[in-house]
Amino acid sequence: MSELDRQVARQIVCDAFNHFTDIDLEPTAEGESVVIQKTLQGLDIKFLIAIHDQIVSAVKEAGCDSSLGVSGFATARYKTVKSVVNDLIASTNCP
Amino acid sequence: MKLFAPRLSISIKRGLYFVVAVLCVATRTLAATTPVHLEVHIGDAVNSKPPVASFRIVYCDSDGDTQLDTIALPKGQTTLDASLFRILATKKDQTEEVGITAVRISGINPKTGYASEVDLTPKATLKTDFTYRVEVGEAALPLAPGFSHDAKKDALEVNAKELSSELDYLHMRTLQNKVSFKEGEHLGAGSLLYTYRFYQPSAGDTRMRFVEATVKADVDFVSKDKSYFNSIVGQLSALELQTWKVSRSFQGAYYIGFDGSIESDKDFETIDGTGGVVFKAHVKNPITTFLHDKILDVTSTQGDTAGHLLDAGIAPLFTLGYDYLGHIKHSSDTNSGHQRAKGGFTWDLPVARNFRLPLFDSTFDADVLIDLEAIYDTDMRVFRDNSKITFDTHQRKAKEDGFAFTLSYEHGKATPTFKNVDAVLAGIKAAF
Repeated sequence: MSELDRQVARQIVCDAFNHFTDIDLEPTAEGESVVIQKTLQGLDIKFLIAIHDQIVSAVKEAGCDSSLGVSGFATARYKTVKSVVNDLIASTNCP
Repeated sequence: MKLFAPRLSISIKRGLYFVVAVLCVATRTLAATTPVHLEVHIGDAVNSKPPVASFRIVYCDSDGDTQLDTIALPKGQTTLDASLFRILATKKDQTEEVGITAVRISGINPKTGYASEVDLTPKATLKTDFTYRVEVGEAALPLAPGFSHDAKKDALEVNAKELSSELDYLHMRTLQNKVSFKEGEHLGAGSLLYTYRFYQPSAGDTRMRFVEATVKADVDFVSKDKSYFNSIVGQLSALELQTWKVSRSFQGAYYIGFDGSIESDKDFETIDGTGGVVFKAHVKNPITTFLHDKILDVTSTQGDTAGHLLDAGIAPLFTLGYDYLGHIKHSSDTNSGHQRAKGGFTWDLPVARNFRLPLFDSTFDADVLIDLEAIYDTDMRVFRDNSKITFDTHQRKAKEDGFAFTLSYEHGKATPTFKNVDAVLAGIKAAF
């Protein structure tokens, strides 16, 4: 994972979420603090899968693998864009 | 004695200084230690085909909000001995151990060398009717300096909802083309099942597509009356999902889907069928974005943090659909036909975030949930509405057992009874 730049990861996550949210998530320090737990929990699972697919495919295009499960970022915890980025990075392996 | 008295006094003083110094160092050490606990979540095992759910063990801070890079293992180590962990599956008071095929360390911080998670890949396929618990051997996951393990807060049982979501997801994207036979009451009788499942994930310009078709036939090859089929049921569902974007403030995602089923008796004389198409689209637009931002900025701004940054509200969802119900018996009181066109609008407007209420230690969120649905019965040529507006207040960080208060106005005729509703309803949810 380590070579995947955090800024790129934030961009990936923000792009995916911006299609579904009422606000503009910016891949900046301010944007990453937005809480997205309700977005994730309130989405039809098909749309949730779409967000997940977009994130994972972008990670794969960067030459990496991600083990971030769809529920891994969808439930249980109080999520910010920052924590999704952290989870994404934590679950990503680059050659 | 006089000669010794001062020396003794000096020794006691030195001793006291030493004890005080030790206590100070110990206190400082304890104060600098961050308590962490273990949590188990469900993830995907990397590169496994077909995809399988894996258990992800992480250290989290005391709130469980943040996953931390705290696992201190020798440099370059990426696996651990499976015997350090146990996965226990329980169903109806019976517990069995699930084997582990691989243990993988990941999320290694390149600066510190500490890892954030350990993934356990189980040998068996996980099922929603089991509860799963992971046991971690003592010293299996050594902590980095500056952290202490608060084992009392460990949450090593898998959240059932999380497991269910992940398995739904895995099921949806598992390709399948197979025929199976389940034996019935006697030899030669049983259920023949054919399943076809296709999943194409979205990537770049490629759309996400999902198709699932099943045909189930109850057969009896040794039937005396030579009616080999007792019944046949076919189901088909398909959807295509894509994102769209006109501008930064006007974009979204949509899917078009189809669901249908057909059922026949053994003589093919009675055939029942249902079918429906649905179109769902999230439409991010300047109006709801403006309302979302302004309302939260007024109600929830805290210090330097603007209210609208406390939550990323979901853009409104529009739904259009058509349902056909063939040969479905309906009694006169339902007064409904075979064909219906439907339209809906759903929007969750966050009203306030992170506010306090008397008698509660925790903070609350409030939302207005707008759920409007209009149905046109083409056979009966009547419009029906089935709408609900709900004001909902609930604990911000609580999980399913948190306190919640709801006030809702419902209007229209809802399935399955189609009885008219026009009421204000109030409810309280509290754990005890």
